[in-house]
Amino acid sequence: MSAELTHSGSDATRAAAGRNSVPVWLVILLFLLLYWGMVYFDERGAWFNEQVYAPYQALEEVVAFQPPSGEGDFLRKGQQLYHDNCAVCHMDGGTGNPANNCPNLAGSEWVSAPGPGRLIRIVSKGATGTIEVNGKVWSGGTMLAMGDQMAGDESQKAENIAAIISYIRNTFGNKASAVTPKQVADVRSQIKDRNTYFSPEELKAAPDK
Amino acid sequence: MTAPSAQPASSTAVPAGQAVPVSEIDISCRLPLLVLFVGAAKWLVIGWIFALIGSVKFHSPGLLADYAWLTYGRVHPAFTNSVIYGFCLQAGLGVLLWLIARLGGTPLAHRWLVVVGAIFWNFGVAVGVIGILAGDNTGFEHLEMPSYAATPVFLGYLLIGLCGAITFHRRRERKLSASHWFLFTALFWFPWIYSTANLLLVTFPVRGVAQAVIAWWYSDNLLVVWLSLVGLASVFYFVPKLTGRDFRSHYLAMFAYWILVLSAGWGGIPTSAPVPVWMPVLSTISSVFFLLAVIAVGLNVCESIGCSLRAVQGKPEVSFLIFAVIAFGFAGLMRAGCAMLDVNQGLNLTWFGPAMSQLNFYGFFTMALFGAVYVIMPRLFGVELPWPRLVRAHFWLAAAGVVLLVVPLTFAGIFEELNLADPQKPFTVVMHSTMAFLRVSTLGDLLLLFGHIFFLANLSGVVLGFYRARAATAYAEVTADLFKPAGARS
Amino acid sequence: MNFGPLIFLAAFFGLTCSWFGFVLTPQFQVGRLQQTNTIPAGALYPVSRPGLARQGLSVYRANGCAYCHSQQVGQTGTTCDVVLTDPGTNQTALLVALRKIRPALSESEDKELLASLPKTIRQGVTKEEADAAVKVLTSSSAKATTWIVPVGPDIPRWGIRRTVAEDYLFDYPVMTGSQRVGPDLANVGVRMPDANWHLRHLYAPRSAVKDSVMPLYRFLFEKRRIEGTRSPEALTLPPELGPEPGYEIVPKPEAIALVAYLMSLRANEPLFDAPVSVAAAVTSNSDTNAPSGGTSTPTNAAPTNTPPTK
Repeated sequence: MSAELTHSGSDATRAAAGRNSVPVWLVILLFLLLYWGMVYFDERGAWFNEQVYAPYQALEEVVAFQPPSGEGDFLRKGQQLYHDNCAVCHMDGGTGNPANNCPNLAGSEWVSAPGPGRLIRIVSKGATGTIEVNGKVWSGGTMLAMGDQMAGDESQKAENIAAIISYIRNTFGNKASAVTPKQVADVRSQIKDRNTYFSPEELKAAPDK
Repeated sequence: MTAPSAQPASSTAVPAGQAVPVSEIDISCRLPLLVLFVGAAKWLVIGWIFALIGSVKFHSPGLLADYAWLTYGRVHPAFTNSVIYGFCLQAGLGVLLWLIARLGGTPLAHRWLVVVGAIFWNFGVAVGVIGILAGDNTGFEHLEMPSYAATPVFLGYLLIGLCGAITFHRRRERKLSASHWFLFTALFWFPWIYSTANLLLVTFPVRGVAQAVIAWWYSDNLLVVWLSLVGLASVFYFVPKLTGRDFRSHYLAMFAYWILVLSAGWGGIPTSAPVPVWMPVLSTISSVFFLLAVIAVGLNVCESIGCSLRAVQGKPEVSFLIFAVIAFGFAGLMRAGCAMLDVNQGLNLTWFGPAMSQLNFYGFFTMALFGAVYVIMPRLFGVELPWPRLVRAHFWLAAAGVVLLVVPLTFAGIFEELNLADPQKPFTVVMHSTMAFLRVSTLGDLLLLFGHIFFLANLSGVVLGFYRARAATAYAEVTADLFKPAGARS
Repeated sequence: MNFGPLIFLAAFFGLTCSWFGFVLTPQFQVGRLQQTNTIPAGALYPVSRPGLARQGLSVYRANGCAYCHSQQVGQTGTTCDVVLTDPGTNQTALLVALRKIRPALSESEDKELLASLPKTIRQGVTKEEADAAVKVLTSSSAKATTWIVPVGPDIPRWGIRRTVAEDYLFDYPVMTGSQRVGPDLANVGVRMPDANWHLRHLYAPRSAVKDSVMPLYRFLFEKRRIEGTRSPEALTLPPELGPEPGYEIVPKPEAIALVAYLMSLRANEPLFDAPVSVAAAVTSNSDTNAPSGGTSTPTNAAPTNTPPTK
């Protein structure tokens, strides 16, 4: 048997014997690579943003490449308005909030009704009373006349309401037709003199369209 | 199997401060390492049978089409799991234990626990491979063994690892070498990544693509970090020893260690992955940093052997280790190149991917292990290798096999990538253009297989030689006793 | 430097860093992902796969389909197309604008172009160029819009956009695959919407795709004696592949579930993090084999003559 492995009593001493230092150029290379790594990550890594995927390198780039489309802008506007005006009570997910008697929009037959007539009335003038949504009874809640209180002139209001209604009819798992500003303006002209909240019974009697 | 009768004296018999004779250390490792190495060799053979079935399916897809458990998608993970868990980790653990005992100048602690651990481990891998064949794989690459197999595997590792840690703790040589750092780190690395991956992917699975990220993290930490740690520890220990030269630089080795520990664990997320861009970017940076470790290891080993292959002449064991270092370098280069230079982000999905992983697997880790095992086995048993020429033959077969396996696959991958860039080219045409390369790489497989047979022959030769000698001694004792004159009996 | 615990601390530190980076942070980011809205349609995405497809996912996993099929489409860049949708009222001004954008074309060619709107005016340009062109066109009372067109070698072949985390939200296990021995399947439900084609392909791949190297999945099918009439789900096979007369090949429930899963693979909805104009392929790239996107019937649905996809 080759002897060189057996004669040594202390392997570690021998193994740790090499005390030559690390060459300077390797250390310099390490720091160069560290610098390169930082630059490379800064350039391409999008700083841990979870919505940036290759080949994009920054969130602004992703935003810039969003497809421009009339309908899409409309729904996105609706989403923004919903978030600003409605989500306080109805929540961002459209789940409603039992704590202040605010019914759900997700899966609600009121929202997904074939025509938007009732929704336009509710959003424009508000509603109060006991309302049944998907078999669940909500009582004691009141919705204010959010639509009338919106900023802007009548045509802007109609457009905003249309965007919100189109949005809630097409999100949270709801799937119903979008609503045009003209539809909203038509309904609003019928009820423009009203200044009380709607009751659910009145709404059911109102034309769906 | 009978336990060797020559029990090692317990380490307490040697007074503190006095070195334990190396023969005693070797004897303490004999049985546990025999169990680990025999188990590993067995899985190597089993794995290669699966590999053979898998590669035959490429050339005649209709073969064995009526048996669900022999379909390619089950045979292939059965093969990788046999080779990774059955061979690489098991044999790696054996080498790790021996090195820790030898470096610490102390016998292996609780060697029966190691044997029990090895039995758990082998049982777990067997159950896991059967589970994969039965269609129970987890669906995560390199972690396919179902949870009921992962438990015994994990338990087995804990037992073996515990003995390793205790042996380390009891070391008489307090000075820590670079190999110590590599080995002890590897010891802790596996249970952490294995438990994390199993808990978050199988027991309480996370949602969506986070699963894929954790699976990539796990396979990178296992196949790049763990294998590198153990393989490099063997290289750093054996190369200076076998060439009779001094180890060049402890600090250079520690430089490589810190690069591995701090940056290699960030690799593994391919550029094509459907994850936010910062993850593949970090992995790319990590793969470039890995090159620093490659440079440090190459420099260290090169200067340790005097930068000439003369040191290797007549020492096939060293050839294995030097080949391993070269393969380590090329594997690192391929990973960095794949991440940095691949503008089309699809190279890792071509045959280039298997080429990279197989170079790391067979070119680096397995070759380093062969070298180590060829040195360790004769010392465990005090028996010379029966066919030293076969070691040289094994080296050349394995080296040629790795080259013939990896080079064609690399080119196949590059051609595939270039062809796929043309959207008008039908996919089947692209695939068929790679088939010629695949056939050459099958030749590489075949050469490796012959090499493995020589390896097994030599190992079994050592074991048989040992037990034959022991049986002869025992027989001589018994017969001497029998034929003594009646009056001389007590 | 000779304390063992020091090594433990080093290992602990190194692994903690990478664990924090690639286990914990992804779990906080993509692990907590919710359904999102497609852009611009605003539909919820992704919807949970139907029950049968979820069973099929487990067949896909058990038989290791992911070892040969990836489910990740890459993208190397994004370009823009400018599409003129409405000529408006002032044709003279529009022709001047068109001349500015495409000086190479003659006036008669431009007039011809105006007869068949919508038409792609510029193709594969940067966002800035597209915006500038749209501005020039709209200044002449015409209506033009910018289409977002992802590019890369994977794009026409495997899908219309890159795959993102949302595409795998409800899957367990997520199998993105690691190699493409076979085609990428992220959009196979769009590319190959014919369930019978899939069944035939599983049973005898080469009957559906010439030179396929896919193994045969005969164990997912059952050979039955025909009792009375042929069962409706039996495969229609060419005589050399079919069973002997009096028998029929019927898919087992696993095969039907697997095909349902494959048909549910449609990672092609336009999302915020993977923007794309879905109809772009129809108007501008009709000569490639790009899936037309959306929920409309793909133009390359005929499976027997589309070798590039399978």
